[in-house]
Amino acid sequence: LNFNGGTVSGILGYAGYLLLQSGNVAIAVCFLLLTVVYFVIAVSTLCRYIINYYRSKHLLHY
Amino acid sequence: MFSYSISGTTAPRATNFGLRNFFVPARREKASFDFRDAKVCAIVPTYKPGKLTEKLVEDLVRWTPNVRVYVVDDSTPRECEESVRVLARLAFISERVTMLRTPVNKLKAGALNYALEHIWRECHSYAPDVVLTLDDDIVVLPMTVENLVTELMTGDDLGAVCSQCHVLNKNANLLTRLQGLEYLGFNATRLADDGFFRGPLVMHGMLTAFRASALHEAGGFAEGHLIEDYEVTARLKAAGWSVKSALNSHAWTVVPESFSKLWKQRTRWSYGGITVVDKIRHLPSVLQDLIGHGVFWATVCMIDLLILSIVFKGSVTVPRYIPGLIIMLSLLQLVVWYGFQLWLMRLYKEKDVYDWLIRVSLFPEFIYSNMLTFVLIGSYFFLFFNTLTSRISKRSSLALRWLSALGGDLFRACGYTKSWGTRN
Repeated sequence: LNFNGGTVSGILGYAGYLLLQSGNVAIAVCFLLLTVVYFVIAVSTLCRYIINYYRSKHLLHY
Repeated sequence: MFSYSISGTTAPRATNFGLRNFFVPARREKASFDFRDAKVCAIVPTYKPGKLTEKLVEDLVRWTPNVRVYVVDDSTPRECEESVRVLARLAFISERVTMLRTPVNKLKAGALNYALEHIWRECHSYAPDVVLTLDDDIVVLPMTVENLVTELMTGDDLGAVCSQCHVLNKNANLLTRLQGLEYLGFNATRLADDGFFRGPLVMHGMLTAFRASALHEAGGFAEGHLIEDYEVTARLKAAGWSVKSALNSHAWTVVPESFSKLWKQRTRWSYGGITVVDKIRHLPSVLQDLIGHGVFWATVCMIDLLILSIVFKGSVTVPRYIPGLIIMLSLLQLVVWYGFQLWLMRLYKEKDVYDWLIRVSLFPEFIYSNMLTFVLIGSYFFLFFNTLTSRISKRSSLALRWLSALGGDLFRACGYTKSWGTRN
């Protein structure tokens, strides 16, 4: 999660071990969805970086 | 805020962004522009200036002949003899250097506005196209300003463009090396955010070029704000301007070398960021922070629910593939993130073997990132505390006022205050 104050990073996911013991499917599914959200944020940021990198690659080295 | 008029491009019409924008950043057409035709004003607010300030002003004058430099002495005490001598020498560097002194210490935003008032007042004789704001302790290259201004003026929808950030004192200790690696990540994040819902979150105060008409229209900087650079960026984006970073404009700054100074800087950034999000009306201007806060709180809630579900154990067996998927996705994200961090090192020109060791070993950055998590959690508590205490008046009970004062002292001891500003 990239904030103005820094990255709060590459992800806790001990949660899987605890979920096995919890006996609560609803919470397990919610946790899975949250993990997917984290993954999508990381992948979308990486996609945008790669596209912008190749659009302006010639400017990056100094 | 400013009573003077300035001509220039008006804010572009609203652009439509969609879900596709999360993965594919918008592309912008470049207009033609000749830097030699640009009228540029550079504002350097300073408090107790040193040799770096002198070098910065000399470099600006030497390398950019069409730039007028405004040095704003933010009431440096006369007892600081070395700084007073530096200020005296600055006045004689060039005719293009104008020395200003605030009547009282106004902190950075106030000093910037003081210079802007002066610039707008004189715009009948010299109306700038671009206003640069610079910290007084940065180092620039000969092409830094030209590339920055060219990037701004070739994008008709751009209201501000910031430089790439590098760390000047990164070899001082482990903490500065970690910040050097972190700033490398900041530059990467800003590149990823170019063309994403009007651009990166913050046009940093270290070195940013503002379109003069956009800054004038926005009314300058918010005085008394914790982080005036984030605040003005959000207002520019709300007015319809886009922002971005210039990949070929590089500047170096001095970062905190002690943990206490770093902690204080980050509490200011973190709590300041929360206050911007709290007060902004145009939410897409702070979209990245909104996503971050939303997912962070979802994580906190899920961890709480997980703990409760362990305490009050359910009777159903959780299918093994669900925790398996969670663990697999988490590890996959670590692999992708780690690979990207290693690849990013090729863009880090100042790296040495110690930087590689820090990056490859993962552990120092793991600790550093978790420190920032604590800073963020503290900021939430401080916001909650301030929301509660804002309702306490002189008519409230003595015990309530005593508790409020005690809480304020406790937060202050932890580095959280709401009344500071950036002091140069």
